[in-house]
Amino acid sequence: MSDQTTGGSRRASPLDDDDLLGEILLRVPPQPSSLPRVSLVCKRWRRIVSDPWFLRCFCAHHLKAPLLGFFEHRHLKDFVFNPILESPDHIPPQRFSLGRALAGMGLGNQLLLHGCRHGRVILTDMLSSSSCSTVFVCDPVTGCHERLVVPEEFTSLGDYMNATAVLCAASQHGYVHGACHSSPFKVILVYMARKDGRPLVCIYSSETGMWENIIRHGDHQCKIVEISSTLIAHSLYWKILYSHDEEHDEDFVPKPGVLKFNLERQSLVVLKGPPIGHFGRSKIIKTVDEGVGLATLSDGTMQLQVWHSNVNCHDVATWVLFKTVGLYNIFGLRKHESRRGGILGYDEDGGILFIYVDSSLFLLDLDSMQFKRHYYSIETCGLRICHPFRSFYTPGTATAGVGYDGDDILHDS
Amino acid sequence: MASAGSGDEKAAAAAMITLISSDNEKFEVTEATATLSQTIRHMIEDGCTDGGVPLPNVTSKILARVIEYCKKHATAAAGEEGSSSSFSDAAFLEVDRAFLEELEEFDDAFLEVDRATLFDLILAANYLDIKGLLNLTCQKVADSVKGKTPEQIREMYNIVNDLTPEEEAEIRRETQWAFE
Repeated sequence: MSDQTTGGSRRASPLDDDDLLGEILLRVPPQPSSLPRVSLVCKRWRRIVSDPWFLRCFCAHHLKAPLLGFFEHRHLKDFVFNPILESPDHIPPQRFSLGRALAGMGLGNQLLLHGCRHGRVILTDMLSSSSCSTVFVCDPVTGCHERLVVPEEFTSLGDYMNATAVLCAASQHGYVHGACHSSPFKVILVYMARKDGRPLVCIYSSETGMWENIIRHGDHQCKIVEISSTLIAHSLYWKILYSHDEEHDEDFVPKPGVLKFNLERQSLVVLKGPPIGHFGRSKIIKTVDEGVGLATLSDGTMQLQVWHSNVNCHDVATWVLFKTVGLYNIFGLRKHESRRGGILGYDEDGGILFIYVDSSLFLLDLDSMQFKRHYYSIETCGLRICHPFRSFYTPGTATAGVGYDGDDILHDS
Repeated sequence: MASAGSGDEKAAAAAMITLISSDNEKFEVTEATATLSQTIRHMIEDGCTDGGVPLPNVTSKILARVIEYCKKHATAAAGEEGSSSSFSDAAFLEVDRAFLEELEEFDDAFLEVDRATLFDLILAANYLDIKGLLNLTCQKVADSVKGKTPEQIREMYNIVNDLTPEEEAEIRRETQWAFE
């Protein structure tokens, strides 16, 4: 009755069919050890998981790259990757060493880490009153990086402050970020001369290799409060202090605000910030409906406040206190007057706040209020900004990391 | 299960299709059940189902399981559609959740099969183009390699390692941490 299709010979197996094996392998977990492990089974398995089409399907199937860890700037040229996953997905810090990528570049001592997005890390080396300010875009997975010289018309404006952001420029339907090594990227540079504080934005496109589209905002005098940005829908947001034109000059009375750059409309606006006392220690967050929010933590009482904004069509923001959460309860900590705490980072893709309390780093999912705890000693590490890093890990990509040329990114092993 | 569709759809849902397995066993199923398979849906659209649909790649044992899956999922789909018009939102969500839980339990039990059957189900799901079943069965195999070393995977599926020592060393060198 159930005389199988091939009788005595070997039964047909989906593992013998490349398409079906691909269907199976794209469902292995997105964690970084998965693909290296299956690529070591045999030549065929290795070929299938190294195929660019397979990798696109793998990203699309998993929707979101895993959070591998975070970068921090220890001192001078010391940028460290801190893995947060457990073995075998624990990627050693030296694997993502930025020092190796930046070595031999004749860097100054003004290096700053501005953030990570779509698998790339952005740093600047801004030499005050000099024409050779540079932006570095590094891909820690491939080891490739690019060095971009900031246009002279910017640096000639005199003493300035700046913030930058990097993002992947791939926009094909259904594209999922997280293995964007060969995709073009954009760098957004926000620039404000210390003299008049009016923000300018210009955009670098790796496709054209040019800085273009200088967008100005003339109504406010601004100061950047935090150089790392949050991407929400099609806009980038930075925390700023600002004043109106009429109140300007020597008596700069700063008010907390948010600088919004809409990437689609290429418009730059200043939004009023919420009425809070700890603006410097707050973080711009993404609300569930892709709106702009702000999270702030009061020292000592460990009350986390989450504010949501409503922005009308004239870009006027109204803020409401969405929720207040006692973190002592959530984290199961005993109340202690001398506890130190703060928000160190925000993972915009996962909605995860990085919160430091004494010698622990808590990764708090703002939606579910679930958290993970990592040991992190302030005595040895100091209180620094965490730049969360998400990426898929695909085998055969690291071998490209020797050259300085962007073409190396496409190197096929 | 009542359908919220038009009169035509109701008539179609009641229409029966005959599926014929490789060992010549006949299965009568509703069109709603059969059309979970895109392959059969296209045959129906092309009007090539008179006298039954021969499925020379699927044995009766496997076809019976596939039909069991399709029946359950077709019912669930019809239930979801039907309930949206007759329940309040909250009640709908409640029913919806109950449906999903029941479906999940069904899927878990459905996958309690030996490896040969699982592989045959994958081949049948692929041939019949039943997305949900292909996803379910492929995920089961993917889960089986989760956390396993390459050696364990080879042993589990009788795969011969044809990588040269150099190739193996290269992968291991680049991602040593993934094997610890």
